[in-house]
Amino acid sequence: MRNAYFAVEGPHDVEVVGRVLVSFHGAKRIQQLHELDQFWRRLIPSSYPPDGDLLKRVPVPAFFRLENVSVAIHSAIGDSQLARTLVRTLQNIDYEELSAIAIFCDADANTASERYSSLMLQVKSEFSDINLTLEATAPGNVTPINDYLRFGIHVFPDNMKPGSLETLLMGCADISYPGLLTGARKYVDNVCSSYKTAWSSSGRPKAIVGCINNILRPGTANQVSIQHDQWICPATLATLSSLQRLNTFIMELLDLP
Amino acid sequence: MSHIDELTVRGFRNLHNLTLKNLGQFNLFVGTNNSGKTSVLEAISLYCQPLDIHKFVSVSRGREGNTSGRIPLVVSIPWMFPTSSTPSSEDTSKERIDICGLVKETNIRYIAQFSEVEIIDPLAGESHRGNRVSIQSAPGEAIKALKITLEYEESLGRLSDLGLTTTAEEFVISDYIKITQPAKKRIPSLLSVQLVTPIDHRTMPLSVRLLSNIISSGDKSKMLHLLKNFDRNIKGIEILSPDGRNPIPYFNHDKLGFAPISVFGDGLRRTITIAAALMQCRNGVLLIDELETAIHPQALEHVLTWLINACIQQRVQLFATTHSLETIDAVISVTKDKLDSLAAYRLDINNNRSTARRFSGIHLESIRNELGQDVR
Repeated sequence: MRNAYFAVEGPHDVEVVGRVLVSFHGAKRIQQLHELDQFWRRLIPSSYPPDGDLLKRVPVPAFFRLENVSVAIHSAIGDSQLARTLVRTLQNIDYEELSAIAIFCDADANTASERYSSLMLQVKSEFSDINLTLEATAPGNVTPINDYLRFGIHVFPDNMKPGSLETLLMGCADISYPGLLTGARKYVDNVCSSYKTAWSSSGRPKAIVGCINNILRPGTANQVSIQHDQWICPATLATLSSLQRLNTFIMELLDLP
Repeated sequence: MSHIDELTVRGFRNLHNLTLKNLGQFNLFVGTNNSGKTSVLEAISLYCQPLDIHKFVSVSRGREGNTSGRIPLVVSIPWMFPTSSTPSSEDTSKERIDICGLVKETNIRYIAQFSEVEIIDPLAGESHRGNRVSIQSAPGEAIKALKITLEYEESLGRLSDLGLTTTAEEFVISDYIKITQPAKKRIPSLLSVQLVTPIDHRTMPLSVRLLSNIISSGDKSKMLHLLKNFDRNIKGIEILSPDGRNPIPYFNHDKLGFAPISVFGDGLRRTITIAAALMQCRNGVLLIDELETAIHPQALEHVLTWLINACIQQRVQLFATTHSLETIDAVISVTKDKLDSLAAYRLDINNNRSTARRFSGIHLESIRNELGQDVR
C-alpha cells in the first residue's frame, strides 16, 4: 500500500478532493479508527482542545483508501497555516514512506503562479530537521522528488487564473444546477452592499455556493452537499476544464490509471 | 546552554550509528520499547566520564539495581558492547563501544574495548562477600576475567585531527578482584554526570550527605515548596539521629511529627532522588530515565517547573526519556518561554540501524498543541 499526504486550506477543499477520489477513482472513506492504516495513527489527535481553544475544530485529517493507495487529506484551517501544517505533520510521520505529497490552495486575488511562489517560500522556511526538499516546477505540475516520491501544488480554481475553490464549484453548479446558480447570483448581487464591506476577493462565490447549498441541504454545512450532491460528478467532469485539471493532477500524483 | 552539542553513538548496546544533532539544554527521548532510549542515557553517562572504570562497571549493572542475584561482571560487561551488525549464526562477535561528540567546541571520542583473559584468583579459597560472587576456586586456579581498555580522544574544532590527544587506561576486572582506578593517572571527568533510573528512589538509600547539600545550598525552601505539592503537611527536612549514631533524613510533618523520609510515598522519594542527583552534577549533565515515574500527572508541572529552573540555575544539561504524553506536554508547558532550549528525539531501530527523528522545541509545541498529534 502506498501512502499519500495532502494538505488543503479548509474543510470544503477536503470534501472536494475526497469526492474526486470517491466519485472518479472508487475510493472509500475511512470512518472507523480500527480500519485506518497504522501508518497514519500519529495523525489522530491525542489531545483536546487544540491550542487550549474549546471552539477550534479537532485537526484530524480525512482518510481515503483506493486499491493501492491510502490518502490523508489534512485541513490546515486557513491558507496561512498550510505550510506549517504540512511540514509539522511530515516531520511527525515516516515521510520517507510517502509516495505523494501535495498542497491544494486558492489563488484568491493573485495569479496561480504568484500564489505558488509565495507558498513555496513558506514551505522552505518551515523546513528544518527533515532531510527532504520539496520542489515543483509550476502550479499543477507533478514533480518527482526521488524514485518514490511525487510532489505538486494545485492552485484553485485552475492553476492559472485568480479565484478559489468556490470558483470551481460555481462552474460545477452551472452544469448541475443552472437554475439555482442564476437565482443565487441574482440574490447575492442584489443584496445591499453594506453587507459586503468585509468580503474578501472570494466573498461573492462563497456566498453564491452557500446559497445553493442551503437550497439543496437546508441547515447543513457546504461539506454535506459536496459529499452527496452533483457538484463533483461525471457530468461536471466531462465539461468543466478546471475540474478536469484537478482530476488529472490527482491522477498523476497518485499514479492512477 | 548546552555542554554537549552533538553526539554520535557509533556502537553501544543496541545502538548503531545514532546521531543526535543540535542538542538543547533540555532533551527528551521518546520511542517504543527497545528503541534504545535508556541506552542513549547510559552512553552519555560513559561518555562524560570516559576513563572511570567504576562508572563503566556501574553502567553495566545499572538496569539491575541493588538486587541480589546480580549477573557476574564477566557477563554484564560484554552486553554493553554492540554485536556485529551482520552476525551469522556462528559469528556473534562484539564490536567496540564508540561514541563521539562535540563538547564545548571540542571533539571528544570515547572508545572502549574488551577481551577475555584468565587470571589467577587472588582470593581463592577465601569467603567472598559483597558484590563478589561465591566461588570455589582452588589456590592457583585460573578464573575468567576481562581486560578493558578505555580510550579518550580530544581534538579542537570540527576538524577531527586538529590537535589530537589520546589518553587510554587498561583494567583487568573480574567479580573476584577489587577494581581500582590508578590514582596517579586519574584525570578529571569530562563532565559531571548523574543517571537517575526508574528504580533508584526505591532501591538507593537517600544519602544524608546529599540531603545536607540540598539543605545547605539554600534551596531548602524551594525544595519544601515543591514537596508540599505531594503532601501539604510537610514543614521541613531535617537530619536526625534517633540512636545517637546513625544520621537519618526526616520530614517534619504537621500531622505525623518527625517521620523518616523513607516511609513516605514514591513521588516524594523520586523527587528528592532527582534533586539530590541534580546537586551532584552542577555544570554537568543530568540523565533521568522515565521522567514521569512515580509522579502523578497533576504534580508533573510543579516538579518539572522546579527541575527546569534548577537546571538553568545549576547550568545542568538535562537528558530524559519518557513514554508519557502528559510528561511531554508538561515539559512543553514549563519551557514555553524557552522553547529554543528544548529538543525531542524519537528513537527507532530499523534494519539494525538506530535512527533519531529530531523535533525542535518550537515544532514539538505546535505538533502537540496545534495539531494534537502523538509524537511518541
